[in-house]
Parts: sequence; C-alpha cells; structure tokens
Amino acid sequence: MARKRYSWTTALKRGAVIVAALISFLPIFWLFSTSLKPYDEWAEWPPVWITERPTLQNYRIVFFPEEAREVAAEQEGSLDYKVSGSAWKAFQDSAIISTCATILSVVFGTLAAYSIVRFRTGGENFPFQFLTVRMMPPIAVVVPMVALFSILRLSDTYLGMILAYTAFTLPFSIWMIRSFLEEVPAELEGAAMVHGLSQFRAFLTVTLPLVKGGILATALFIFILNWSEFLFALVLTSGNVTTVTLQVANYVSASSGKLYGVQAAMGTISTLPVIFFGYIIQKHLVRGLTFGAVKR
Amino acid sequence: MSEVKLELAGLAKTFDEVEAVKGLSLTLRRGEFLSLLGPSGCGKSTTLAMIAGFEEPTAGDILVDGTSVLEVPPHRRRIGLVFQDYAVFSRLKVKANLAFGLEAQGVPRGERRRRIAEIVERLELSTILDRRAGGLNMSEMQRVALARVLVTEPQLLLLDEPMSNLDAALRYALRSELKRIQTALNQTVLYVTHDQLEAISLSDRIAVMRLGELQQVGTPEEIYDRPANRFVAEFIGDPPINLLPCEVTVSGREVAVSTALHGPLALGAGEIAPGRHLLGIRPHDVSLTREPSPERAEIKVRVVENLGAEHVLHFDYGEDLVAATVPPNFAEEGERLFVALDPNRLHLIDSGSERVVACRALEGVV
Amino acid sequence: MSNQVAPHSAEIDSPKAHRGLIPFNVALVLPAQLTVLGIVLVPTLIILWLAITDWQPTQAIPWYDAEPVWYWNFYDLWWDDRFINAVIRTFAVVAIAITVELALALGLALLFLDEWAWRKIAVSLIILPMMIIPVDAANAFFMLFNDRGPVNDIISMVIGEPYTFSWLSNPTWAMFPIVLCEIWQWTPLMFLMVLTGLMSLPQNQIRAAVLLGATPVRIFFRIMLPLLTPVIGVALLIRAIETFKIFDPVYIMTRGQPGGATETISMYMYNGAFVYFRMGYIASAALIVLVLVVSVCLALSRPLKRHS
Repeated sequence: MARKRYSWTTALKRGAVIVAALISFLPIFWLFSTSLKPYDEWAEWPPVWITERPTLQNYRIVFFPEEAREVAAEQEGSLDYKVSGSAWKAFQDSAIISTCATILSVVFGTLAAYSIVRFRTGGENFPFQFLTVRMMPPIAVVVPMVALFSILRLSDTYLGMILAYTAFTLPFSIWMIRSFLEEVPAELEGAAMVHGLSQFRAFLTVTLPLVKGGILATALFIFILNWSEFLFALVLTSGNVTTVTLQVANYVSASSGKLYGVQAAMGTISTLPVIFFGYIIQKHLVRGLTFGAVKR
Repeated sequence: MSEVKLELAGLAKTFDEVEAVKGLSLTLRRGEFLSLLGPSGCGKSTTLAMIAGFEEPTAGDILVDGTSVLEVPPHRRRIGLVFQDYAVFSRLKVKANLAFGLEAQGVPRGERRRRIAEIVERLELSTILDRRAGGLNMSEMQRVALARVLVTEPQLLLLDEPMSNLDAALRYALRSELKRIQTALNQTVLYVTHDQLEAISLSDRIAVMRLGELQQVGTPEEIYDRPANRFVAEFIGDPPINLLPCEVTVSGREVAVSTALHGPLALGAGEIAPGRHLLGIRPHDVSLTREPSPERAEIKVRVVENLGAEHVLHFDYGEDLVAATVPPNFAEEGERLFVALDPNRLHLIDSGSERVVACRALEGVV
Repeated sequence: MSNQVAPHSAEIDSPKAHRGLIPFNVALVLPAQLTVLGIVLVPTLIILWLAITDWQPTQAIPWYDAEPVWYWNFYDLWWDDRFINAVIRTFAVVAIAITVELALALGLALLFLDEWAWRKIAVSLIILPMMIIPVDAANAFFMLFNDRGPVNDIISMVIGEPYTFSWLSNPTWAMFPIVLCEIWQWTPLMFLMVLTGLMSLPQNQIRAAVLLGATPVRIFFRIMLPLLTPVIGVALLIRAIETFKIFDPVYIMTRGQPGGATETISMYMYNGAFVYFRMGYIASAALIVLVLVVSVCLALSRPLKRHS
C-alpha cells in the first residue's frame, strides 16, 4: 500500500492518541504537582501549574500530623479540620486488612473455582450466585451489616473488615481463577491419579503449578480492589481501624477543604502501589474486571 | 486468449530475512485459468496477498492491463478474492453478503438487483438468501463467497485453496461447477492450491512453485509429460514417478543410459556430463508383459495395490522398488513378468542441477 | 482404594470420595459459600426486618427490639422526592456514562488497530486512569474543577478573561465533574475490552470487505460493529452494574450537595443512614434497590452467560 498518500490520516490518528494520553495524564499530573506545592500556592489564582518552589513539606505533614496543625495555625481561620493521626497507621491497617482479605479470598476462591470447574458443583447457575454479590450496591447491604456487626462485636475491627472484603471480592477470585483453571485439561490430573494420587493431591501437584501465574495475578488484582475500597471502610470503622482511602478522605472532607497539598501528597503515595501492581498484571486486568468473560 | 491481463515482473517478498517469494515472473491472459501449485510454504499465498494489495512487494512490479497497481490501494484494484476460510460476513444475511460489494461500489439499485438475481440463479442460492451467513455449512459458504465476488464482476478472480475445507465428494462436484462458471463468464482466474488433481483438472496453465521460486509454467500436459526438473516430476503425478539411478554415457552429443536391468538405451542428442544420474519414469509408462523378449528384463511382483479402476504393481528393479500401473487383475503377487523402458517416455534428470535434460527422443513425445 | 482405578473424564465429573459426611466437591466450595452467606445473605435477611421498622440508632433501642411500622416506610419513600430523584439521577448517570465511555472507547480502539512504534507505551499511558484509587481520582477532579482550579484556568485562557465558575456548588453543573471523573476513570477499561474484541475479529472478513471496494467507514459499521456486538454487550452490562453503584466520587466531591442535587442512590442511602441515622427507612430503600438490581441482573445475565 502506498504509504505517502495516507500519511496525513496517520498523523491525525497519532495526534488523537497524544491528546487522549494527555487527558489521561492531566488529573494525575495535577495531583502530583499539587503535592509538591508550598501551602500558599495550593489554591492561588491563577493556579500554579508547576511550582517554582517545590517542597516535600506536604509529605512530611502526611506522616507527622503535628506539623499540619502548625501549618493550619499559620493560616487565618480556625483549626476546623480533623486529622485522625499519622498516615503510618492507615498504611499499616490497609496493609494488614488487604493482605489477609486477599489471601482468604484467593484461597477460598481457588477451592471453589476448582470444584466448579472439575465437578460442576451446584450446576450451571451456581457460579452466578456469586456474581449477584458483586451486582448489588454495597450501600444496600451495609445498613444491615452495621446491625449484624454490632451484635457480633465486629464493628471497627480488623476481622470485620477482612470478612467484609473477603466476601465482596470472592466473585472476582472465583470467576477469574475459574477462567484460568478451564484452560488446564482435566486429563492431566487423570494421568497423575493413575499413579495413585488422590484427587486433591493431583490438584495440588499437577494443576496448581500450571495456574500459579494466574492465581498470583488474581491475588494482585484482589489486593488492588481491597486497597482502593472506600465505602465499607467509611461505614464499618470508627477510628480504631483506618485505611488509606479514609485517610485521603479525611483531608479532603474537612469542611474548609484547605489542605490540598497534603491530600495530594497522601493521594500520590497511596495510589503508587496500586499503579505498580496494576502494571504488573496489566494483561490480566481486563480478564479480572470482566469476571473472566474477556480474555487476552 | 492473447491479451495479457496480469503480469508479475520479478516479484519478491522478504519477511525478516526470510525470502518468501523470489523474483517471480508470470503472465496471465484474459479469460485464462492459471493455478499456482506448490506445497505449503512455497510462497503462493504471499503472492496472492501481494496481488490483492495486503502485502507490499519488496521488489518487482504487478501490472494489470499493462499498468502498475502497486500504488493502487486494495479497495480500488477491482480484484476479487475467495478466502480459504471463505470469510463470509457471518453477521449479515446471504442477501446482504451478495449486495455488499455492489453497494460499496455505488452500483444503482436496478442494476444491483439484476446482477444479484443473475448470480443467485447461476449459483443456486435462492433457498438460502434469507439465512444468516454465519450459520451456513462449508459448501454453502463457499458458494456465497464465490457469488459475492463474482457479482461485482472483478477483472481478476483470486481463489485461495477454496476446496481445502470440503470433503472429497463435494470437491469433485464443485470442481466441475467452478470450471463451468469460469468458462461461461470468461473470467480470468488465479487459483492457489497444493492439490495437483485440482490444478490439473481445472487449469489452462499451471505454475509450480517451491520455496518461493517458480519451477515451471505450462499446460497440465506439459507439466505432466515434460517436467522441467526433479521437483516438478516428483510433485506431479499419482502414483508418484519412479526415480532410478542410471549410468550415462556420451559419445559426441549422443546420450545413452543404462540402468540396473537395462542395457544402453539411446536417448538422442542432449547436454549432460557422463556418469551417475537419475532416470524418471511414470508408473503409467512402465510397460509390463507376460512374454519375454530380448529388450525386456525379468522381474518379480512384490506387492499389488488395488486402486479400484486400476492396480499398481510394485517390483524390485535392481536396488529399487518400481511402481507400475496396470489394468485390474493383470498379475498377482509373486508372479514373474517382463519389463521394458520406452526411451520416449523417460525423463533424464541431471543429478547435479536436478534439471530434466532435454533429449531428442524425449522432445518428440507430444 | 478407589483411586487405583484409571479415572475417565466421566469419573472426574462425579467424584467418589465420600470419605466424610460432606462430599469432597461440596467441601471445596464451603468456605466461599459460608463467607458469602454470612456476610451477604444474613444481612439481606436483616433488611427484611429493618425495612418494616423505623429503627434509629440514636434512640438507643437495639435493632431487634425496634417498633415495627409495617409498610409506612415504603409509602413514605414513594412520596420522597429526594429518593425518587436520586433513582432517576442514578439511571441518567449510568446511561450517559456508559454511552460516552463506549463512544470514546470505540474511537480510541480504532486508533490502535495497526502496529506502530510506540503503541504499547501509548496503551499503557491511556489505561493509567483505571489504575488510580477512585478516591484519589475524585480528589484530583475536585481540584481540577475548583473555582480556582486548572479547568477554569484553561477556560480563562480560551475566552481571554478570568473565569472562576464554582462547578461543584452549582446545582445545575455539580453533577458534571462527577460524571466526568467516572468516565475518565473507566473509559480505559471499556477501551481495553473493545480493543481486545477488535483485535480478535476475523481478519479475512475485513479484508474481503476491503477488496469488495468498501470504505473504512462502511466496513466499520457494516462488518466490524456487528461482529463486535457480543463484546460491546458484555462491556456495557459490566460497566452499567458498576456505575449504578457510584459512590466514591460523589462522596469526595460533593457528598450529595448542593441541596441534594448530586445525590445518587448510594449517596442518598448513605446520607439517610449515617447522617440522619434513619436506618429502618433506608433499609426499605435498600430492599427496593436490591429487588430492582437482582431482577435486572437476572434478566441481563443471559448475554454474559452466553459469552462466557
């Protein structure tokens, strides 16, 4: 095909890609750029796009909230925001809750998915019952969950959060791992069982090693979901346990809304692990978010 | 039949250092049916893709009616292509499949109807017009794919192994149908196949390719009776040609050969160095009798293979096993017969260049 | 040992390992099943009770002792404009967001059909938004649409005079940044799904259409789009379900303000239950939403089932 004659359409296409990439990047750029601004540039007009006086002050405030109070005191107006504490606590809690919930979800999900794939347990409609969990808005379940958690003494505890996260990520792990398991022929296990292995041992020694990459991708995916979760954290905790998303909201939801730079700093660090894990499992993201319906 | 429709001039294509097509030159006349024949990987599909415009040649030129089409984008080349998988528009009805090309080319409605009605009748598609093309069976798909292309009256029709997805009985029926349609429409066709039977039965001429190189172009008779080299000789013919080692002697320009069982046979004038070479003879050309005669050597039948209409005998010839086609029940296993080699039916293959050496006796066959 | 017998696939499908009370295959699904039952089904049953009470945690009566008001919650909801508006608004957000996402995704995916040098990197850049924590994305959009934010700055530069419109406190426009944030964040997912679909289309059908003389536009609408419908169906279904739940950006940017103008179903229920503490009343709303969602999903899960 003659290249030269079509070069202007090609240029147009590449130009559109550049515009799309810029739009994708702008909010993230703004978040990062604001996180480096000194406090008098946070809400200046006209806005400062790239500060000439970059500072790490905001990041220090994230981890040492005492300084935040001093900064706020320097500004006119009263101290009308609440900072529940250093972000260390939020990172620590988020790590504990997300990791435990991810492990539970993936282990339970693998067992269930295996049973569904190999034995057609519960019939054809059984896996769909788990999907309904994902379809219902969490806010609708959260009201009775508060009631239930209060009598079980699970409110504002790690265990309560871990159980809630496990339940609401199970549809993803079951469906995603199921799509990986379906790619392994049952005959492989059959061959191992001829040599006297039990069904479960055959699963552990033959099938599991073949899908371990997929299960790892699923785990990272579930971890991202847990780390990013906001609504359950907001409703099911009240100070004893906190998460990174709550910490972000704490700065932004202050009635004065003045701590832009600090929010941005917290936003930048909290989202970094997600971006990192996200790119590791980039080729599995679509499979995950579509419950294994669209494969790559 | 004289006007040149398509000309490939030194056409070459290289993919990452692999030469898929090497300097292919070939002409196709108007109304001609030419087959590109060769085993898979011989470059025939790449050639087709270059003619259609999906691949850009690395070197050489493609001329249609004497004008280069390299600068013409595929959708303006007016070349029809029937894909190996037929590529019917699976989500559209058969009707819409047939109308697609005409609509795209802006043919007026009345003309469109007339041409579709004509092709529907010719290819007997009236019963499936309202069906979704994705739900058709293979032979229906093939007819739709063919009709979809023919209705646009392409100046050149390319067929990429159109029979390879069909079973044997269907192939036979469709072969004659295809030939009938091609003749009726006087359609210029370039047909790509790896099946020699299809190529021989359909084509006006055959171009044999191997590893990206053109081996020989000729009518089916020429290709069969006078193969240019060892590859063509072996690729064409079923059962395959027998190749026997032989000793060549040359006196002046006169060539003579002797094999394990036969004394010197004079082949006439030819260009070959004396020494060990190969002698090819087709199973149909091996002459066997029950009666001994001076020029015949005695052999013993090893195996009889029943092909229905004829039998193939396999017998020891020196170190080799030779096949011969005979009428049914001509001989039984273990029987002793007498074999002669007809000098007019031999193909002398130079063991160095692997070319078939032209000798006077061999020239005079046709 | 029954395991000595060579297992045929039929045998693998029906396990014989009845060693305990529970069959092996059922035991495998039990942990997942119990978690889901405990955390989802039990609360759903509690809703049935709460929905007919007017339980308010501020009244210091445990929920199981609350006074039933029977159907009055539902009656009140029917006349509650804020609830009805939130429902209508949520459906509008879903419709607008997934339509725009699909259009953008299709357009973007068409730019990525051929191979070119920076293609992989460009894809990675374009899908960056879906990697961001939703709360952080909302935070970024909050700043972008601030009255003294960069969006107003760009508008000022274009129109040539200072423009300091307060997007998020204007009842008419406050929803705009929220929907935009949702679209920004999830167009990449739609894009990846559509691109995956486009890349696996039967290439020969497209080539055949090219050779028949069709223009790219005709090929796209007549050949590619019909072939893509199953993928688009799944993509729209999944995005519709997720968008219906929209909460994080609303909470971060407006909390439903000004005057309830940005309340979606989730935001409305959060405000009712955790700001006004009308748990019983909101439980009734939750029940309605659950019935709605489950019935819609049952109707729509057919295409998803067929695709998987």
